[in-house]
Parts: sequence; structure tokens; C-alpha cells
Amino acid sequence: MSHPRKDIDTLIHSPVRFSLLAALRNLEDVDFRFLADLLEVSDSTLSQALTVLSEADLVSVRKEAVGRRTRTWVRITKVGREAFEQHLATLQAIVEAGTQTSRGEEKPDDTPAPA
Amino acid sequence: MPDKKFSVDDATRLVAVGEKAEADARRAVRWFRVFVVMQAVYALAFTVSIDVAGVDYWKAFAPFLLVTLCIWMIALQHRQSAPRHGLRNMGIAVATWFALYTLMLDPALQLFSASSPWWWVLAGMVSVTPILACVFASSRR
Repeated sequence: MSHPRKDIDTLIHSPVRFSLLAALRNLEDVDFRFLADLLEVSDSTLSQALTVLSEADLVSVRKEAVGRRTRTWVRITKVGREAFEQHLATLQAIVEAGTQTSRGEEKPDDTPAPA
Repeated sequence: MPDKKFSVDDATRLVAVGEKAEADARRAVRWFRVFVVMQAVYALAFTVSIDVAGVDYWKAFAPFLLVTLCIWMIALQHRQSAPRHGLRNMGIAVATWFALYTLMLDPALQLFSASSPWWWVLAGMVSVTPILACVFASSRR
């Protein structure tokens, strides 16, 4: 059985992209501005992350004209939700594997002392 | 994929980051449901106060209008975190509630000389259902 780190999805492994998908996971269409404020990232950083994720069909980005302004709505896709959950499971498996290893190292040495 | 260093601490940290982002997002949009329920409750209270409690129309309308304006002002301040078409649908729902109750249900009950106050309570509850429907994401698709 291979180590879980080999299942890491490099596309969503970045903290910004991972947080973005985590935030979108249980929401409907979300406003771009709201996302930038929530994740505490600049517009350009968020825009880059959305471009990468939308090209991989993990999120859908929709622009809507509201008067003279354009509002951008972001939604996670079904593929994106599955990819995120898979990646989250991988991370949790890594944590679990690490916890088991450290428990094995902490186990007291119960071999009898030499006479 | 190059085998970069990725420790258990990094994984733990990333999981925590994801959980925080998810929790923050949920918390930030929770206000919309509260807004919808408050609007529905006040709408129902308005109709019940007039037709069941017998309060003067304008004496009931004034506090209802004041509360409605207040919660809408707060909603507009947080509109960036409102669901797409959420506020628009709420506006339509409030107008529908008003028309449904004032122009259809209330006259119908008077026409049929409904005597029990429960009919007006039922009419009030039926007429706020368009507002309550705004809680559900399916109302915006």
C-alpha cells in the first residue's frame, strides 16, 4: 500500500486554492468580492486561482452585468466538490499515518533489563 | 510529481485551514436565512394583528414598515454575501405576499364571511410561503 502523499492533488494543493474550494463547498453562487474578503487575498491572487480551477472544471465562473458594473459569481462544480473531498481525505490519511507512526515511536520499551 | 517535503504538520495545518475557510464561509452567509425568517415572521404578525387582533391598519403598518426597512438596510449592507438573486427574489416575494394577502385571500375570506380567526391565520401563513421559499437554494435556480 503506497503512502497517501502520492495521492495529493497538486492542482488544489495550494493553500489559496484549497481554502477557496473549502469555502465554496457548501455554498451556492458566491460573489467574487465576498470571496476575496473571506480568504483575505488580493483580487489578482483570487483571479489567478479561479482561472486555474475553472480551466480544470473545478469551479464555474459567471459574469453578470448589474447596471454599469459587472458582478462575478463563483460556484464549485460537482467535479470540484469530489476533487476537494478526495484531497481532504488524502490529507487526513497523511495526518492519520503520521499519528500512527508517532504512536509507534512513543511506545515504551518493555524489554527486560539485562541481569 | 516531484517528491517535495510535505510533513504531517503541513497536512494538519492545511486541513485546519480548509476547515476554517469552510466555517467562516458558512457563518458569513448565515444572516440571509435569519433575514428571510424575520421578514416572514413580521409579515405574518402584521396580517394577524390586523385581522385577528383587530389593530388599526396604520397602527400595525407603521411598526411593520419600520422593522422591514431596518432589516432590509442591514441586508443591503451585507449584500455581497447574499446568495445570487437572493435579495431580488426576496423583493419579489414580499410584493407577492402583499398582493396575495391583500388582493386575494383577505377579500376572499370576507366574501365567504369566514368567522373563525384561524382562517385569517391560515391565510397569513399561506401568503408568507413565497417569502419562506427564499430560504431554499432551489428558489434561485
